[in-house]
Amino acid sequence: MRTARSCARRRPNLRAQLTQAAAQIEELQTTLQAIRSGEVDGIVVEGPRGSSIFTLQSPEEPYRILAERMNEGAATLDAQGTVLFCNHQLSAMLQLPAERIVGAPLAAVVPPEERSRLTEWIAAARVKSIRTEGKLRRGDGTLLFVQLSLSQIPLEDLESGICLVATDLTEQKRAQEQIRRFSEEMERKVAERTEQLHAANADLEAFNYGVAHDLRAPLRHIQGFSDILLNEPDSVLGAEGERHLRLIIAETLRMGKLIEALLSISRVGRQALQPCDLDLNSVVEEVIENLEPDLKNRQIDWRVGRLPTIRCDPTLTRIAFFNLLANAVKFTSRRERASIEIAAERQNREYVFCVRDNGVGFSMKYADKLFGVFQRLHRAEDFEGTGVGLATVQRIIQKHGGRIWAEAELDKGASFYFTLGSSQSTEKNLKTMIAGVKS
Amino acid sequence: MTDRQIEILLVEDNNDDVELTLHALRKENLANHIHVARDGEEALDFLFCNGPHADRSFERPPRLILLDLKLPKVDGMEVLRRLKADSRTQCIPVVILTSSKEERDLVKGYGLGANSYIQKPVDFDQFRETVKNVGLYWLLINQAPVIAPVGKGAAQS
Repeated sequence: MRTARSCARRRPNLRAQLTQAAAQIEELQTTLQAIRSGEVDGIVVEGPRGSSIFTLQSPEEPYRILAERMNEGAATLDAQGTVLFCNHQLSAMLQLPAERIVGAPLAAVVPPEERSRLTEWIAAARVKSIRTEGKLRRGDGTLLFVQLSLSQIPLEDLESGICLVATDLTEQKRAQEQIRRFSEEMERKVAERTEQLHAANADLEAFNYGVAHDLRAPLRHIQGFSDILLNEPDSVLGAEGERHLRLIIAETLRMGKLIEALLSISRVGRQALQPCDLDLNSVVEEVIENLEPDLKNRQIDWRVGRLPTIRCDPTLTRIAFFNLLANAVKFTSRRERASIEIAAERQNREYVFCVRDNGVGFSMKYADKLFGVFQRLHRAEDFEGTGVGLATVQRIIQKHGGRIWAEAELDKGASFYFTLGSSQSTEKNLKTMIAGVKS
Repeated sequence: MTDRQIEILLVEDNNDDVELTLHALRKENLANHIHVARDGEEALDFLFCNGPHADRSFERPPRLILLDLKLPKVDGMEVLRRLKADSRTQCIPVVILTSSKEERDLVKGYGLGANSYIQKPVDFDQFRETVKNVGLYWLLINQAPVIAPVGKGAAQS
């Protein structure tokens, strides 16, 4: 029962203190009233080390000038949270005259919902300086966002006090709010554009579907009926008529191929990449095997170097290699001994591939046309083709975040260079960007 | 009554296509027992013995359906879905014969139970060859169940 005993011993002591405190409060309140009404200029506080004077106007301290001139609101509180001093800036921030702040508990300028936090801050500051964000209430009742720094200071003649510095965060909050609104706006725009893109893609898909169905059908019919006419047993067509009919048939077939090529390049554009690790030596081997049936009576010296395994879309990469090698085969067809070389070299973070042939080449004057859709640098009677092969290759390489270019000389062969396997593809970059905007 | 049996149901809306297909089938002597449905609804009426085909019986289904995809009223995919979902018609081989080879059509077609998918070639020679192969394979080489699936309460022997 030590507790009860010690309580009993302290009781008279406490009672005396209480009486004394009550008298002090009464005295203080009277004094404050006097200060507020302008009757007196300051208050005298009795402390363990004698009495000290706190006034509203005591310019003798140079520190006081500093405190008054700083951009932050500053105040000193006693241990109970009563404001002993407040600088000009705090009074301006709160839109209250200093006389209304000093002498009152700080809680008076803190909104009710924050008051329990205030008690905690003061308690915490007595142990260790703290910095926190909070709200103060202005004279007109509006709220003010501030950063508060509270730390314990020894106050002459008093046990200890709290020094409080309040930084107005209104601007900062507004900027944050603006950033949030901007990013929301950005996100909304991205979503809107994505939707537009999806709509455009759907349109394109419908268009392609239409082309595939509706443009091919009449071609098939022209071709079919021409064929029937040509094979009629008792045809009235003369030799010239028959020749014309054969031309019609040939032309419709060509147009069929063009439509097919156009559809395939559009498919390449729309198809999403499905990357996996692909051994490019086996891809090249496979492509050469596929080309083999067209290589009868041809002497081709294939020189395939060591190619890497890289992460790429297998279907599209095969198409790219097929088109490049088929081109090389086509444009070396007049060489008695054709030579086609496929090599790869690592440069920094990507591989540069090269497909080189000793074919007819082309003039670099027209190099800019090389990768355009339906662009051809050779006459149809010399080398047949639809004019979309290289355009398709370019799309595939670009989809992988790579580049493609060519070097050639008329009648001295051509070299096609492209990069693949860079650690960052364009699509990945774009995704990261969008993710960044959203977060 | 097998002499009156329809061997092929051709579902095709385009007149020219009908004519060219019949021309190709005729060459192979396959055009005698063929019925042409000009849209999806007509094809379903024929297959499910409805409307103008109410006198038909499920006992004698066509042995092969050549199905176009782009059709008026009910499209080819829907025809395929309905006939593959019904036990009375699901065993009939369906060959999709269409202009496009859009990947999604292929996937959807096979997903719905199509037996084959053929893109009509522009070259009529190739088309003739294709029709011949399809006819030969599905009508001569392929073994279909002898007994037609149960339908309209008809007893099977």
